[in-house]
Amino acid sequence: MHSPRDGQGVAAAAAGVAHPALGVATPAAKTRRPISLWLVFCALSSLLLLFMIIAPLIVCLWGSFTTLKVMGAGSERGAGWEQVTTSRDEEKAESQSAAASVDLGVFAKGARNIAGSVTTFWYQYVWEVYGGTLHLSLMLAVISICICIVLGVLGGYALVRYTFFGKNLIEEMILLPLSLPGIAVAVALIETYGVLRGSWVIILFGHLLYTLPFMMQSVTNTLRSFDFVTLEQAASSMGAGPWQRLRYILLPNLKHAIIVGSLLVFAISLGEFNASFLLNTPFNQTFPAALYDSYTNDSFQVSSAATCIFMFIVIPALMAMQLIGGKEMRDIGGA
Amino acid sequence: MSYEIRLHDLSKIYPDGTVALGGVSFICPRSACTTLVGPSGSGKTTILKIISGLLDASGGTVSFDDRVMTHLPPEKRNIGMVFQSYALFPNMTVLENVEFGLLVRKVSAADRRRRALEALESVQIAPLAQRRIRQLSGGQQQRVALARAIVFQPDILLLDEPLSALDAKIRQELRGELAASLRQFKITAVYVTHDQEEAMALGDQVVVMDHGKIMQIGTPFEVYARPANEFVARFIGTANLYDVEIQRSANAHFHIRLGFSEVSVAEDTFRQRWPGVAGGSAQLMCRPQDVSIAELSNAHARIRISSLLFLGDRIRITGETENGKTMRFEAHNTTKISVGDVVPIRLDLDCIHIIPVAD
Amino acid sequence: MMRHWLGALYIMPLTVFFVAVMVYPFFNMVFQGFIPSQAMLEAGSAMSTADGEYIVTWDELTLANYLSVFTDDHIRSGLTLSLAISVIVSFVSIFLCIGPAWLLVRKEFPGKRMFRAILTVPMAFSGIIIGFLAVIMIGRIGAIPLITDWLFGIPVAEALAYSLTGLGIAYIWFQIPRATLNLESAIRKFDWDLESAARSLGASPFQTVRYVLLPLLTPAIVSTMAVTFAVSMGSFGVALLLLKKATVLPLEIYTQMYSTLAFELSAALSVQLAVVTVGVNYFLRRYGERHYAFAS
Repeated sequence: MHSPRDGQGVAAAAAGVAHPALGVATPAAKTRRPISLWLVFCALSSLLLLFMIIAPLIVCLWGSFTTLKVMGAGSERGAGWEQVTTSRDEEKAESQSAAASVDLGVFAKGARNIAGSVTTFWYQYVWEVYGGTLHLSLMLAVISICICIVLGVLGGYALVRYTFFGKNLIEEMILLPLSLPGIAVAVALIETYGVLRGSWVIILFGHLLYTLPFMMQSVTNTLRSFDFVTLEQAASSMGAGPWQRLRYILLPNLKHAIIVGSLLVFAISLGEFNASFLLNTPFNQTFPAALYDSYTNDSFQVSSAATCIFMFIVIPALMAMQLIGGKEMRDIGGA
Repeated sequence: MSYEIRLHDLSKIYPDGTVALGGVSFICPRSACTTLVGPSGSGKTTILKIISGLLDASGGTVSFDDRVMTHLPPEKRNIGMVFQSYALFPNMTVLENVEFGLLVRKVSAADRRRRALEALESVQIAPLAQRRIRQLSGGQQQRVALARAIVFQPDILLLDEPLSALDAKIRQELRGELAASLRQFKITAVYVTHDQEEAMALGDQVVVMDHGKIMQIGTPFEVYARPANEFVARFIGTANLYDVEIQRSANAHFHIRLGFSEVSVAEDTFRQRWPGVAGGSAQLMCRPQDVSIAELSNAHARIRISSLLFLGDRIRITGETENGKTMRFEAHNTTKISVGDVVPIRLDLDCIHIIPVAD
Repeated sequence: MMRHWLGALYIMPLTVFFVAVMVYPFFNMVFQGFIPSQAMLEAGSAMSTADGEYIVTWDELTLANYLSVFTDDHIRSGLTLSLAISVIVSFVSIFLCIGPAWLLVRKEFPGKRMFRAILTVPMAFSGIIIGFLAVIMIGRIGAIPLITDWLFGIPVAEALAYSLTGLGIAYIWFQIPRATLNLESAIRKFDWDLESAARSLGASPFQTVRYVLLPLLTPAIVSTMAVTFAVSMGSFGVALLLLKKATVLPLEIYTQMYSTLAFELSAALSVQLAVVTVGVNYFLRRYGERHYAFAS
């Protein structure tokens, strides 16, 4: 704390204006303002959320590397690890859909016997069994990104630059998937394009439907933020043709938005479950659908390893997006 | 009840090391308006926020008379504040906005209404009481903000650039009204502005600031006519500044060597007008209106006119002295001169000012 | 004008895509919903062709599928649970996320970007992964019960994942980024001079919240709830993995489709789910936008 400084105020002296009795401050008890309850609430809820997000990821990571032997008989799917679903057999019989029940059986012994060592065996197993689905998912994500960039830039440009009949309707339509339940879309797709079932094209449709709005938002937010229309008019006043405007004005300014949008498209496409799962056949199984298989059939460790592989791919993409994304990200909370 | 505001050694240093305010002390006299003026980043708004309690000082104290307020939250200080953006609550009507200060002071509904209407009456917008904020013009919003700040009879009134969001014409108009209102309220007011004309028009005391330091405190006349340093001279009004050499001659006169001319002043007069100046290097300041075109016989210098700007009622003239110094002054719009002319000029010796050169 | 044609031309591929993949399938599904489901057809005077395909005549179209939401207790309970959990989860996630959102806007602290990035993580996680994480944390033999059992001798939250509370927690998990980012953007747009003004006029922090902050932030909160509600309503993976006896509407649609093979019924339910979700979302969003206008 500062104690009242002796002497006069610097400036008052400089101005030659004498003020009496400047030293009013008795060094009385300086009560600091108390930290507000509100701040405490903010900090506590932040910590709770951080715990909620991080703790499961840590457990999952640990599970994917541990060698702890757990209860139950050996699984048919690989040697030496167990299915933990046995206890719920009755319910399994009741409903096919309610089959999933991976449990952390490993902890039963793990808590007492923390002697497990580290192995990468589970990852090898996942790679062998589900590697193909991961491949398909990555391919779909990359194709989605390419199509999203072309359609998103073209469409975003049209929406910001021009007015035309039905513009508002089209804008609403593009944003509709953000609130449309994925399962309804999946059911509609199956019942309409049932012919395509078994092909990855129909899954790609589902992915595009849910990723395009994000790319569009990223592009239109950026275009609106820098008064693109005036810039383009300025460029054409200097004699730039459509191609030159695209090359020197539009794309350089959109680079950031396209990168952020692509990362988001990548993450969402890779994690998309509804269409993937409902349209899934052995020929076009994507990684999230495979994850479901893993959760219902494999042991905790294999499931963890599969989940971790997913996280290793998606979390860096999300982090990168956060770190480079500025205003584009800000208004893309919706979805 | 009104108080005097005593600021002692106030400083504000942000965590990133920016010094917004570096140890500032002064007193805002009771029932008078003190204007804080300076360029942006000079710390004037910081002082206002510290007085209001919206910002914690890093050091120093704020007291209203003898009551130390430094660590009191804003709502316990009984201040009225007018914001640059007006900060009128968009979820309330005009009347509700004005009533707000009374509402939180638990004044009864009927009383609240009566006093709020009175306040609106005093700023001449009572008919707008039921309007929404969005339906008001900038000038009307400014009046509501003022009514809201004074309705609960605060001890101190703080105004943060209240006119800067308005068009030039309305600003002129409201400045006069605001000056009258402040006199009428007889309240201790602190008024922050970056407009030096506004500062002089409204302030009983003007505090000129730069880079978190006080440059000068004084009445509007003192600040304008007798600036303490070059910054104040340049910031307040337009100034012609020249480096000069001052010599005392045997016949009890000081000779001010301008370079293009020489002026002598009797020693008594000199000592009285510029007590801080001993001799040697200094700066001479003359305002544009202290320079006029004169007969050759009593002229101080001759200048060659390099540009003319017609402003309607007068002409702004820029000229060069014989040794290449620039001089700006003004003349009546009927003056017949043109660029390239050489004209004799005269300084009004009663108005020139000498600024000691800082070490 | 030529310009307009150009704009329509550029938007054309996008429009065609959305019509083909969303609008047309949706209306097709609406129509499918009117066809009596196979069970009903077989019971009645079903006509089948040589290919085994049913040909439905106009007078056979029925409202039965659409009405089953009211007539079938199981389906009705699914809808009720969906609505209830979506509303509750929306409120709770607003409550939990307003603090972090406020910190992100109003406070500077080390690791802020990292904090924000971590809060965004659940964004790309699909429902089943979240269900799995819920199982390993608060399942029958999850990490939290085991660790607390080991430390204190009492398993906390054992098998919580399979209860409705556990389902709610899992739902909140994937609302974290949505709620936080939406609220953050709203708080960022808020004119903080208004808060200062209220304090300077003598309002205590509580009064400031009561008279100024809350009324002005309500539209933003409503807009955020529009998002969280829609996402909760549509969520399917979590329930697929966690729910055993109870059902939510998306899960019911899936069961009708793959277990009962009642395609037409699931089509009708999908239509209803979509209409309710999009409708509520649209209504809340419009409310938020209309009242935002006041605040700016």
